[in-house]
Amino acid sequence: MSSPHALPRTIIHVDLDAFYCTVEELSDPALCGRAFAVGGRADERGVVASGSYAARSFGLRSAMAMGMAQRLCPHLLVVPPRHSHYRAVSAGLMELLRSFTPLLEQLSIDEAFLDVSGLLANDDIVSGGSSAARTLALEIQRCVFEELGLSCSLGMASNKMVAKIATDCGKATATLGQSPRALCVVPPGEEAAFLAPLRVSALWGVGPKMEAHLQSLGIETIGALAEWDERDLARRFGKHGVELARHARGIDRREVITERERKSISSETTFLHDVGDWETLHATLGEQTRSVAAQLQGQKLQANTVKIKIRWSNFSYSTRQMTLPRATDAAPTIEVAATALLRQIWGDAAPVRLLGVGVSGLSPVRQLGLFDSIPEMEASPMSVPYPIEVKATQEVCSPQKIVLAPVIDERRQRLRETLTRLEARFGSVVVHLGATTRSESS
Amino acid sequence: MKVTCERSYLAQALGVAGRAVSSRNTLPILTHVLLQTEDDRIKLSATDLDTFVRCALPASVAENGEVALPAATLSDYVSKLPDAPVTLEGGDGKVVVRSGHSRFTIMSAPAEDFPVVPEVTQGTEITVSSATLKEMIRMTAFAASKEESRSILMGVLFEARGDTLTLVATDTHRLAWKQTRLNESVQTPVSAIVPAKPLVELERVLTRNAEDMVTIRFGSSQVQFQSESATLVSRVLDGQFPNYEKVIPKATERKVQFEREEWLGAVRRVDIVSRSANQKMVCKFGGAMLAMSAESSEAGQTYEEIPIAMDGTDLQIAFNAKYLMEVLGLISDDQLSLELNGALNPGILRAGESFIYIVMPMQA
Repeated sequence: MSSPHALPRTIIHVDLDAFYCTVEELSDPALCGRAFAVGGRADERGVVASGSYAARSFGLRSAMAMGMAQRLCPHLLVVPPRHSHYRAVSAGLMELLRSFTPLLEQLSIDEAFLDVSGLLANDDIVSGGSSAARTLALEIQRCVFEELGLSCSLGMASNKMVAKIATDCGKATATLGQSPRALCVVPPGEEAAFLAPLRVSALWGVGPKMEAHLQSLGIETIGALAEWDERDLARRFGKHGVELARHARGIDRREVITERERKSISSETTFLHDVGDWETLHATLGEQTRSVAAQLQGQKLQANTVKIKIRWSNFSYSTRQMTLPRATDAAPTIEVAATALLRQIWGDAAPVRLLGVGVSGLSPVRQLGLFDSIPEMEASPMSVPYPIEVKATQEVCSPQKIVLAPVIDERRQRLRETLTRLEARFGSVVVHLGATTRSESS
Repeated sequence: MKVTCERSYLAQALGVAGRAVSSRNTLPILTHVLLQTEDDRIKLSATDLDTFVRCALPASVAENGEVALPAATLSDYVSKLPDAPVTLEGGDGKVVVRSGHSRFTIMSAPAEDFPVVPEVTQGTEITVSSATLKEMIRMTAFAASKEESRSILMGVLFEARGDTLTLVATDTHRLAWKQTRLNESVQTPVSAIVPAKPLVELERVLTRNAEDMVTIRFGSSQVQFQSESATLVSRVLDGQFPNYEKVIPKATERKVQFEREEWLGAVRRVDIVSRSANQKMVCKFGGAMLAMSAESSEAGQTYEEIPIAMDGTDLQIAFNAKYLMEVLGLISDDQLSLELNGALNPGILRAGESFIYIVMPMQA
């Protein structure tokens, strides 16, 4: 099952149960047991970010439009999200999980993979469903609940994909209206059998389009996909087909990627109202690049690829990316690239629903700078290191009809760099550009 | 306007002026070249508003006049004509270009629409030979930044003090410094940052002839380079160049001597791998050997060794292979020296007394 070189592993996927709602319940115990949803208001096109289990018994789901959710559950209470608070709780959670193993890959604000192979004796790993592995999983679940008051579900398997699917399966068996706190273990060697009855859409990389493709071939379940000729899948779907065939057999060789090895960093904004003017889009892009740069700098990483993503008002996506001449962690450089990309795909005041900037090609390698330790580049513009030519001796017959191209404003540059540093130190809410506050007040 | 000139002169002049023609299509007139007759010559001018280029060619003028013609079209046509006299005649919306049995009626624009070509008439003036200036630009402009976010560093610093002219360019990772003696001392020290882009164009048209002289005149917002055949006026960048003197190390612990060709060849081979590994090339200086290696998960590994003569203890340091490859390809000296301190301190490459290249290492 595993490659001859890879050691057998035990991966635990941790997924919090109704994370935002549980955090809100902790802050306001009166919410416990009530049907409520965290998300944006229906009259502002809000969506359900998280629904309490009581609300879910009415058919409410995450990412559902809030208007729809209120029709399903008329007495639904809508709680506005407090993202910075959730991030703080999430940071505490990740820290707690890291106390079990540093081999942690954070998937989202409330989801993570833990590679716990090192915590188990070899025999326990091979026999996967052993009591030692189970005990460890239950211990994690107990700690998360006792120390943070949060309920989580776990999936345990020999690889990331199966572990994540196991969590979903565990959650699906929970009693309607109750927090699942599930634990689903897939012992090594039983991955394919575990996946076989599930629908192909449960696999990573199978979206609605691929699902329809597979259905047209008569493939409904992962088991049917696993039996399909791998070469035929490769012929039909290329490299993705080969991956599909492997995944269907429960094979996934991806390692747990810890924070320092992250593949990309991004920042996205969904606008309250669709935005169709350049100034707002450009200002948002500026904030996003500074957030991305701060994350890069915080992790001592550099990126060589910049990507932007736009979701149009009709929900279709456009993305564009470019490779930089040199890896960077500087907001201005990323912004110049992102702005150029935005110009390429945006025009004619097209309304934009979501805008995002991301960087990839991350490396911890750093080209040292000659002036790194000399604060002179930021020094007051009054200080002049050498005698500059004396103005009185100069006179130029200057052109009268022409306008010189605008010189990039160095002061604006310094302001941006200072903002990046401020945000890195004090978080993202300290300073806003004037242009970005306008959309909120309108 | 009616004027006749030799095709080869016209083609050459259009080639020089064409370098300043705007590639951006902001103003249609900027894709034109301005023709002006004057006594027994034609003056050609072109600009992208940052840079103005003017050159002249001998001609026999039957009727004076001035007109703006689309540079690319005219240049294309003239380059395809056989070597024979070319006559340009017309005005008023069109010009007829004639040569032998060929005739081309080309649409023109009024000369008045063309931006006024500036002339720097006052300011400190220095004179250097065309060959020297060409070499100085070639050895420095490549190190200027290509990132528009740091506009000042996209320029080359010209510093004239006493009887020396120094050119410096840096992208903050490496710095190139080149100095020459002036025939006459300057009265007032001059410091101006000239955009690298027009300098690269200037370098292409400068001759290698040590007899040809170029006069550089520094105005308050523009600088003018004037040679026998052409004049280039560029804006100077407004801002403060980083204090480069501070980053030139005064003392070094190690000195390595090596053959340029040998090192260049090795770095070029290492670069094949290092280009997919953040350009990182690990250098181990030890005893009489420099070992270089690069490793990339995509491309594989490379290893190279060259003999060196070294004073000082062993050192392992990583450099961007590109930064070394570029400069080693430009220097013409055979024997070079590299001075080093620690693994996180700059390396100093010297070619004779007049060229210094400082390169910062990479930290992994």
